[in-house]
Amino acid sequence: MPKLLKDDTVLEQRSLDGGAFTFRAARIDKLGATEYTLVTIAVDVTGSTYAFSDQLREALVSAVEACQRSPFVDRLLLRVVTFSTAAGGVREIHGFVPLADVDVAGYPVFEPDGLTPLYDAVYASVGAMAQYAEDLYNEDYLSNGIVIVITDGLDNVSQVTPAMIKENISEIRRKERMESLVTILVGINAEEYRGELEAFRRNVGIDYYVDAGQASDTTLARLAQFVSRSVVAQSQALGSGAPSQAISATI
Amino acid sequence: MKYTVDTAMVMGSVHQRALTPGQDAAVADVLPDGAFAIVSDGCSSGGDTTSGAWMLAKAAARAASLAIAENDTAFLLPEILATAEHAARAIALADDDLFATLLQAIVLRDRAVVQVYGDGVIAVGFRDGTWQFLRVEWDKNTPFYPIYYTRRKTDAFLAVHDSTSHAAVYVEHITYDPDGTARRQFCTRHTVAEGMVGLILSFDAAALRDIRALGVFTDGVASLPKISWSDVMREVVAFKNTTGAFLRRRMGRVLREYDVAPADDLSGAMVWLSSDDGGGL
Repeated sequence: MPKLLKDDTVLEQRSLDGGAFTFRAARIDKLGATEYTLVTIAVDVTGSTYAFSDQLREALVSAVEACQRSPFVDRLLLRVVTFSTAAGGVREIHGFVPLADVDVAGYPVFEPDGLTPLYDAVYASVGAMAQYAEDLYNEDYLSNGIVIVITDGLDNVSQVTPAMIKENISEIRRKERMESLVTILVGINAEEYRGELEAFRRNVGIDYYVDAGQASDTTLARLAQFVSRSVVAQSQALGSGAPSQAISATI
Repeated sequence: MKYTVDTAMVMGSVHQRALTPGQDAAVADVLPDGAFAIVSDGCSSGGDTTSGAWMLAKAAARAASLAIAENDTAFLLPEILATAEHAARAIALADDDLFATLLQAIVLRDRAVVQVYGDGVIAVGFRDGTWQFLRVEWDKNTPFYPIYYTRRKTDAFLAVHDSTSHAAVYVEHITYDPDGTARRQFCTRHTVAEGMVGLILSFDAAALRDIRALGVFTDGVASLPKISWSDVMREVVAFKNTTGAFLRRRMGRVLREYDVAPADDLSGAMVWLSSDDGGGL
């Protein structure tokens, strides 16, 4: 099994909400740049994704590889999680690490099963990013962020509520520890839930809902492109004082 | 003793608007037996002083490395000028391409030296949290450039300043207590001759034990609107930690929080000294 991260990547374990969720992140004193775009990609691996899970993994790999070719790769920190009850809720493939340190060949094969803790995934993704961004801010780093959550359905089993997510996102914007935060909910094979997912987006303050269409090689390839372009766009916006204006709400 | 170094460079708004390159250079490095931090500020009315400042800074870096290895600073300036001249002639740089200041802080095994040729700011940080800043300025905004020696421009320079004994160099000294209070402020004046030799701060082994930081900055520090040079320095050295790009992070934060940009290029280079037991910040 190829290694996921470089040998000298040093991570620290952190927790949110008294340990309800945990995440890992590169030690701040080991970071070389002065500013970073924090990226989280959360991927639904529930039972309903079984038919296209290999292509979903391939889309994730393509997206990460494309980001690694960005001229801004040295200021990107990437965290990747999967979510399903069978995976233990929200499960980290890796924490916030320099994108250049990631070897996508080490990404595990998805084993889709279980129910959908979508709210937990959004909450934990946003919350972990906010906490790490605060720590970076306290050490004089500038950061912005982008959270992309990819799902094929509605929540049916989370611990957290939409109100908690809404408060989470609002607090990040109030505290201004990040220059900007872009949040994107992507629906794949989720046409029948589009109305509800769009309503969830509006209720909690997620910036974009993007319908990726029916899962196929073509749509998943376009999804990979969308993810990498959005990440690169937000990293280009770092230092501008505002979120990227180049992120599209469609694929 | 453990050293960390960093440099930070901000292009002045004058250059940004004019779409011309900055004219500062900054170099710093840690070696087995010491460390150095160097900045150079090219004359804005000179020739290609972007290249000249970098040539001078890189020559100074080479000379500093040799001085540290040999634990001997006696021949620093001749070594710097010889190297800079050799490189400049190889690529046919003209006289006025090399008109640039030079400020360097060099930490050797058992002492340290800070030298200023021209104008700029020195920062000395003490282990008790005190900071001392010295701003060096020249009459008629005409600082001495060390390349004048080898390009035979000293007479022309002296003609601007009337004589070698004229007190054309002003040094403003400000000391800040650990709580940020400015405790002591005064000015000293120095002759042209002293400025041409280079204003020097020396720290022997005993003095060095009390030092935790030595930094040099170009005079762009004094070109920020709304904030005095000493306040800039006080904010810039308020490091949260001194790992990695510590000077760049801090300078970036200061410029963002004050929402200011320097009119002139602003560059700094710093050596941070930690004792081997991990003492320091």
